[in-house]
Amino acid sequence: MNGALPVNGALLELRGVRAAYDSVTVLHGVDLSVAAGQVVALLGPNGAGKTTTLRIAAGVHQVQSGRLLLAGSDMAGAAPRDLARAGVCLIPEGRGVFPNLSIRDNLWMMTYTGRSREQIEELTYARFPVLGKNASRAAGTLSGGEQQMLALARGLATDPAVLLLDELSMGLAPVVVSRLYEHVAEIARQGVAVLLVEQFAAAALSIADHAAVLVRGRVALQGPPDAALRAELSDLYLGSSK
Amino acid sequence: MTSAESRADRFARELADLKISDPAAGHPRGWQRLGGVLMVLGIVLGVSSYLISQRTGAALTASTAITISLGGVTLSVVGGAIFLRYSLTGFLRFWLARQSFELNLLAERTLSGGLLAPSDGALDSSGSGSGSAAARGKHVVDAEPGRGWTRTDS
Repeated sequence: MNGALPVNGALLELRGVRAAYDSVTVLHGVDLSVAAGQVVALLGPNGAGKTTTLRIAAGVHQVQSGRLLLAGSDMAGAAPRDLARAGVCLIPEGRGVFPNLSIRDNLWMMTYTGRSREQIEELTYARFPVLGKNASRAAGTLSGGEQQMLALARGLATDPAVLLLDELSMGLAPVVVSRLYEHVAEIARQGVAVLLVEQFAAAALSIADHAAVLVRGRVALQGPPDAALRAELSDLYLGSSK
Repeated sequence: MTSAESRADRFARELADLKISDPAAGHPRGWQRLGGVLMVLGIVLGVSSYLISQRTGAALTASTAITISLGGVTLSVVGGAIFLRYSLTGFLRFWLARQSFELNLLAERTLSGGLLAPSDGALDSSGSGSGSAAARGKHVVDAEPGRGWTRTDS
């Protein structure tokens, strides 16, 4: 490991990754790459292995075989806390905020990153003013969209280089989802590599630079999110009409 | 760190500085097995050497056998410690996960109101606890008569 970025600029790369839960193999050789500033949407039906892919990228789930490369270094077997400290941030499905704590205290929990409480609050409230207005409210009493904003803010407080988002749109109104995705696109523009997992393709494809469709643990399709991919995607989801 | 260093470059540098542990996913299980094997091997070695030392008439052979026997006992203790350390870790992790799961389950059941929802009829002057829910066509089960709460099956 020499600390230099790989030639293709990929911050996150999965090569031939296989993964299993006990004896059940859920990923059968997944290849995927996300470069700095790029948004990659990982789509697919329920049970395709999308969340497992994210968990592998965050070091939470171990690969059975294949390679997990972060900035060109093989990180298979690295502890999730080490990857988190280095800049890999996973925002799980269900948001992962502390429902009983206020917004301010939820942000305060992120001071383990070395940033001060004031710094984190300043950054957060500048990006999400609605959180600033409700800073003393318990996170559990916020709307779904606001909770997702808080989850994003907590993630951004870690100064991530790789942001992994699991089902950002889950349970949210389309207008809220598109607003959240605008924030995600802005985060990517600042040089963060974003891998987002979505079951509902339309919103994710609106900001993605690249998309991959996972079906039964295999990348069935990948490419730029153009009309051809959308058509293929609908075939994969709904069955071929040909 | 230079000021011109981008986040991606810093990420690459910090990852390069990380000390990565053995990537083998089955690492703890391997240690557990090794501990078990050492423990059994130590016992077998200890007992067999002890028996040899008892049955031989030659003093040199007896002392060698006793030495090997003591080595077996040591091996067995070390193996036992390794085995315990890794099997206990697995057990405690499972126990913690189970505790957490059960607490979550309890919290969900409590908050969902499935069991502890106050009766819609709690404000009824009759105090029967079946007023408005029954009026909305729900099936109301008086789970704890006299305690003021019911389970409502819609």
